[in-house]
Amino acid sequence: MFDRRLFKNFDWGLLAITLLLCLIGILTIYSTATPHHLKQFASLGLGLVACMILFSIDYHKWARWAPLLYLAGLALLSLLFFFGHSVLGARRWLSIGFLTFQPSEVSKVATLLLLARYLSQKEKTDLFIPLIIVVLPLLLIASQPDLGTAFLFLPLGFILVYLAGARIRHLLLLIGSFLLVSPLVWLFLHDYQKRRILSFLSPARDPLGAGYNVIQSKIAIGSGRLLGKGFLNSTQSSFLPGHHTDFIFSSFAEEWGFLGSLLLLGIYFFLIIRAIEISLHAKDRLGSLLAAGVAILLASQIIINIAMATGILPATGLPLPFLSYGGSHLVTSLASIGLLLNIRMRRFMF
Amino acid sequence: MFERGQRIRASLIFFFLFIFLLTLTIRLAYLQIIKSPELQEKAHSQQKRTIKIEPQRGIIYDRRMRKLAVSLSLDSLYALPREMENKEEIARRLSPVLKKTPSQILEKLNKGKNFVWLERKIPKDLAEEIKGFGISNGIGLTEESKRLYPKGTLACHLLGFAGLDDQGLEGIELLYNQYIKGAPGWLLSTRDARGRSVLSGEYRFYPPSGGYDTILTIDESIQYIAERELEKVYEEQGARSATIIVMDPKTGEILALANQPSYNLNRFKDYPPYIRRNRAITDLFEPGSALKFVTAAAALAEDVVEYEERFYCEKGALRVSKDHVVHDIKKYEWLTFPEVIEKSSNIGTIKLGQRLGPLKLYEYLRSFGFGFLTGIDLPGEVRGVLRKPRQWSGLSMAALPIGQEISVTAIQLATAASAIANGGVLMRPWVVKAIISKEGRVVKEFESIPMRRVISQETAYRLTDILKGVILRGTGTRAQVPGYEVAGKTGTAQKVDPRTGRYSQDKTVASFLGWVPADDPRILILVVVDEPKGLPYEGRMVHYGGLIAAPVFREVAQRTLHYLNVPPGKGSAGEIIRVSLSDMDPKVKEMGIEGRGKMPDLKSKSMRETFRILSNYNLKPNFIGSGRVIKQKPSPGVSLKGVKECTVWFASR
Repeated sequence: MFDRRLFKNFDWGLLAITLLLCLIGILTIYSTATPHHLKQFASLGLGLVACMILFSIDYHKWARWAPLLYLAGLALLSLLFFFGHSVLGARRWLSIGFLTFQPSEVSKVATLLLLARYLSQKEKTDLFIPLIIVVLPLLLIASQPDLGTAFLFLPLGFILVYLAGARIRHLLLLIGSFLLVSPLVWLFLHDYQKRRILSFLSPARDPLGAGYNVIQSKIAIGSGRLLGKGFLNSTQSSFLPGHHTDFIFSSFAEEWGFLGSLLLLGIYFFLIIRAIEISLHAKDRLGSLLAAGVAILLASQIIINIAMATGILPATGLPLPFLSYGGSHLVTSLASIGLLLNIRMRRFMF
Repeated sequence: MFERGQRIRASLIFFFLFIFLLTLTIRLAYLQIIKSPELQEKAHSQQKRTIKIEPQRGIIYDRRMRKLAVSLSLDSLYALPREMENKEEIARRLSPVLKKTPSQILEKLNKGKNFVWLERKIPKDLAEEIKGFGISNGIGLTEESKRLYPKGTLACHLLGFAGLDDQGLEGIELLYNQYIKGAPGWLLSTRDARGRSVLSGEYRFYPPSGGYDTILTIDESIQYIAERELEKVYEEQGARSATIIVMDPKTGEILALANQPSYNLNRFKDYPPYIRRNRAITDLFEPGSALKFVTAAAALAEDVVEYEERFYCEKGALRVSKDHVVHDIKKYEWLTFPEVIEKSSNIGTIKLGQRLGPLKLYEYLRSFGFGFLTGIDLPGEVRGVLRKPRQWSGLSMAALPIGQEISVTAIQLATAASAIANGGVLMRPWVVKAIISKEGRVVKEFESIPMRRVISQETAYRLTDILKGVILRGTGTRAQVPGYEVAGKTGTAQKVDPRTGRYSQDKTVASFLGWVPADDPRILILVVVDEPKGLPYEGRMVHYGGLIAAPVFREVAQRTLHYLNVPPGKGSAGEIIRVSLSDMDPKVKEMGIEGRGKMPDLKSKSMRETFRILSNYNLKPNFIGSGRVIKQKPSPGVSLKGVKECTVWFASR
């Protein structure tokens, strides 16, 4: 299975950037939420194993298994209705023995595989099948409810279909119908979700309630100033809920300041560019679409997460790739990097 | 591998990615550079936590530095609910220690406050247990002080007490609260990086400045003696209440002050306010015969009576109006002026008062301090009731001279009497000697304050002689203290029955006031017993002050004199004093004219006798020494024409 040429084409740079990001994450967790960093360290180990599995098996094989994986993902998401662990009013976790994980993370990668496989098989694609592929897991995840993760399926679907060469007319039609449907979505939102959106529009209306996170996040980021307070010197973590999970960027920005944040954005930018580059240089349409999908997923998460932390978008809860505390997410993020490595390594293999 | 068209599409995506990242960068620059001063300020104000540290109240000492009130340091448990990660867990763990249900604790935590007290002033062992939990996030212990009164009920009405928030609520604790309380300290702290307990982070500590210590004029031993005897009479007599005041008449210092019923300061909440009231300064009563010394003093000072003058006492019944007859206890016919006081004849005293007239009587009552605050440094003193002469009724001149139609406080009565014991000068009564800091620096020192001269020294001495007679052969014989000369006056005041509006026969206020040694007083004691049930006397139940209150005086005086090591006998031996009457008595000074007749022989006379004799010769006397006369100038028999003053030397044998 392994060819020497494979190792020659292994993207050490991508792996290094990924590990650097993971390290930044663990240090930030150490600084603001000891002893959670130990568990994150264990998750990193597990994630590297997943990464290895993903890149060692040819992505064409993964694509072949995609329908199965996709269905398994949907099945797991459905299981949440019966066995899910409820945390803060949302059923997002499943337990298998001592392990708990989020099926939505698994489903994300499975959906990407199936969508890329379907789109790679046709020249001019229709929109109906991709819509079904994307909407099924999206609805299941949204009903947990986990709006942040569910939302990720939209850019994934749109951009992949767009890149695959869908007619612009069709895409505009799709966007129009989504905009028409969105007011209806409001009716299905939970109270706390409505409150978050309202408080995003006006954070000061309830500073200790729904707007609290956003205000505290801005205070943490802003008090970091140009150079930051320095490692281990953050003071706002006790005020900021999620200071080591969804709002870890705020903790990082507080300690490392504007320059540190800029550097972090630069690293992420470099990561995404690398993913796009892999997509552009993939040996076939499947590889390109898969790599593009990974790039889209990572970029959307990074942009949306930081936009939430800085108060540009409403805080719906979405982890920051590689940094946020949380096993399932780290493992799937590393697995998707494994997929990238996989595609790049095999670009000259015919 | 994308085709060319797709590459163009991909570059559009790339363009958007770039736009998004640029947006984020601008936003970050806005937050971290432009808006950062404002946000940093917000962060600081959030981080800063100020915890007020209560100061420890100062100690209250008696005059010999014995502790009457102290403060213990106890821990109080507070919570910072915003910092708690698991309120349920904390509530559950604290529940058995605090003896509260978890839901009660949770309720406090969920009030939405930044800071809540979970339990104030926890016993040491429980505080240790809580420390042993090692839960630090969001809860902590801080020292608070708890007031403790080691002697329990001792001097309860004087000391007063401090409540849970360390605020003085009664007595000295209230009046001198600003000194005793001290200033609170502050703990300003910042949370450390891990959000651990406030106290482990960076902090600045402004320590509380402890309250000042207070030194009283009270003597714990005398207070104890007085309280014990007072309690005895209160219980034996089933009285409504009882009050005792022991003071140093020369300085106005209160040595002891007690009321019955009393209460335990450490459990002050268990007692109703009427028990906690300091009756000695808040409760009014008609003094009755005890006030006759004022009438006598006024008559002597105004020279409306000769010392040996006799009064006809109407065989015990004097009709003062159509339907009002004043009675004496016994049916006297002729009594000398001193005998009127000794036997406490109402009729004789009324006749004395009539000679004075309303204005003079009123003037002296005022001068002795009735109707005014004494100015004692205790909270809640009342002025009493002394009406102006134009408000008096036709019967007032038959009532006021014998202590009716006037309401006084015990402290007023004791202070008035002390003016006579003190040679005519009224002193302000006081209970706080000094306020000192913990380092021993004197913050405030109080001195005895002479209020005014009420009567001349001579009048005071002459009245004292009469009041000695009360003890020797009058109504106050039960106040005799073996080995000491006592001066005093009994009081038996009938109370007005609220139902009939008339004086009741069996409800009285029995009182006794006296000082000892009579000529050089160390202590003055007033005993007031309200509604005693009475004692059998000559076949019937009586409520005389001489029977009920005088023995209390005797017991307290005897023990106190012994405690103070006052040598028995008259006067104070060997002490040389120089007295110039003219310095004190403006009347003598005014006279300043030449003497009349020939110089009398004063050999072996006492100081008081010398006064009495010289007052008839219009001389300004200079006295040197004390005891009996050994030498005089001019010599006996010398004509006093042109002589303005004389000098008399005394020595004790």
